[in-house]
Amino acid sequence: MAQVIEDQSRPASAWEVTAAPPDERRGVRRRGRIGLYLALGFVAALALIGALAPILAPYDPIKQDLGNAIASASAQHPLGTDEFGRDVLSRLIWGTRPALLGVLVAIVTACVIGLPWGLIAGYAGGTVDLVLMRIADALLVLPGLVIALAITTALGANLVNAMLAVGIVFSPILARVLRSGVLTVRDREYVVVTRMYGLPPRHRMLFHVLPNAMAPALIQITLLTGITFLAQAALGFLGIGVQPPSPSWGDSLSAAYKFIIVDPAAVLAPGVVIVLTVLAVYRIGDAVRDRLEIPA
Amino acid sequence: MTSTLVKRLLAIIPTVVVATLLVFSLEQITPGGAAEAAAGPTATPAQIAALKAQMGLNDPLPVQYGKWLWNLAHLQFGQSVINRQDVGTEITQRLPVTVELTVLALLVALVVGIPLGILSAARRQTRFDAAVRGGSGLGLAVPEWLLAMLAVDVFALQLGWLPPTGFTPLADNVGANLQGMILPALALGSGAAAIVTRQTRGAMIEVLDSPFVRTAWALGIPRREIYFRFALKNALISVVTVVGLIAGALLGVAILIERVFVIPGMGSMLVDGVGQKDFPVMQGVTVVFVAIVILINLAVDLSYAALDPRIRR
Repeated sequence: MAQVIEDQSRPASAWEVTAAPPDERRGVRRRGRIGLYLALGFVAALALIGALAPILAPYDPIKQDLGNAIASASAQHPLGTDEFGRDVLSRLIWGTRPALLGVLVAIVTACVIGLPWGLIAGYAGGTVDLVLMRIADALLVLPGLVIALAITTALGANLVNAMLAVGIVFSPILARVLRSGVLTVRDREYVVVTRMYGLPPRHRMLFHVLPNAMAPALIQITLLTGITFLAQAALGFLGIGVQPPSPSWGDSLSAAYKFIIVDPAAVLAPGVVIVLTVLAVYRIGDAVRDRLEIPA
Repeated sequence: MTSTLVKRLLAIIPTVVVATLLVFSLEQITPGGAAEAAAGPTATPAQIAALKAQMGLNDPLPVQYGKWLWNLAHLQFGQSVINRQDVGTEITQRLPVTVELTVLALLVALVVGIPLGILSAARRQTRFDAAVRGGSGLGLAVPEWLLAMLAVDVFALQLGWLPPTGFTPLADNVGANLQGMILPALALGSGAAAIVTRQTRGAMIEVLDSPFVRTAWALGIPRREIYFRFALKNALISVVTVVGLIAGALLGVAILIERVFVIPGMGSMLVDGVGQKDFPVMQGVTVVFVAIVILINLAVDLSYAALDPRIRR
């Protein structure tokens, strides 16, 4: 379970849990920067691996070799083969692409829906704010994974639709956070001055309010990125994301798990890749938080 | 207390409206509509039209929504479009399984988390505390369903202590049922245990550092009494909050755990329904999940009021 929360008094959605107590946060901050550099390096490496997948992957990720199925690690296949004799390493390498793409789809969706939602609610105030935030609260109460699955049913089960659904589920979180940011800057002098200059409201919202209200939303986005990787792997494991025979991390994991009795070690490789990615993204999120956090 | 109850009950209304509208409208936005999904890929346009009329899809949308809500209120979830089974009947068979798993996981979280949190707070800045914090950090980072697979590998396959997967109905054999639920409940409760540990520790420390506890020390009140009567009682309020959040989250994660351990609960029903575009199944399961989460939240809010007199206004 991951950690996000903006307002402890409110019920949050399924994947949200309370943040660590403040004393532990400070502990993270004091620890060296090595972890951060490792995390950044890991994510950069993933991007590179995804981009260079055709060159790096030793085998075709979807070419079957049934005579050599569920093979253990060997010199030819460093991570063994799956039930159809496909090279696991190659599938993991190619799986980097949908992993990164899926997270991008989810985060962009969450931003496209959530940011205008929060900006308008915070800026307009009054009844508009009340209605918009009631809707956000109602969605936040609902169990996230269940709602994401429900939305995926309607859109059709594939990677982009599943991640669109995840983005939709996360959007009210961003809306809430951005709204609270907007409320704190809305009546500051520099915003009031633009009103005196007669600048149109849209200009004021986009160029004066939004940039100054974004810090908490940015922190939230980095946290959501980590959760999105997990959500994506989970949906892939359920067979809702990337459709076979295309490679993905979640699919590699569920394929390995099917034969855990034959080859118990096979689940380790995809599992470790997923966990390391999530840890790296969280570490980067922590750094972003430290940099942007407004001192209380 | 009565006004708190009324206020909370009124606050449920927007949630119910948004949730039911969302679940209902999903049927409308699906490409081709629910009738086409139900008829299957080989259906002729005439068959689809007939099915549409039969499913009442030609009525105006508000009428359809009203009928749907009316049926939900009477626990009529309709038939699965795939196997023609009554969705309500299937839910009544599967819901107890998921509830059992979730409750056991919650128990794991509380039984592990609260004592660890108390000890960790009492021995702040010691090696024990550091180990607990490290362990709970790991518990938060490793997703439950991955841990579940590792648990199957280690405890079922390597050590052979417990069955790897499989499910015995509670009514058939209580012992076998519980034996099969140990690994799933431990795995599902792992993340929650980490959260409860952290929350208990944080809340305990906050109370232990407060002036009234310092005064209690100064008065010579025994250690045990300070920890349990003063600190724990106050700390538990914030633990109840997270327990509410956790219970809802566990229900969601249970979907994945059921998949790992091949447990025939609501989660596997939902996942199958999603894969087959089976709208009545998806809607029925989602509505039941949502209803449970709403009820848990209500219970949590009311229990605050019972625990903390300051909240009763």
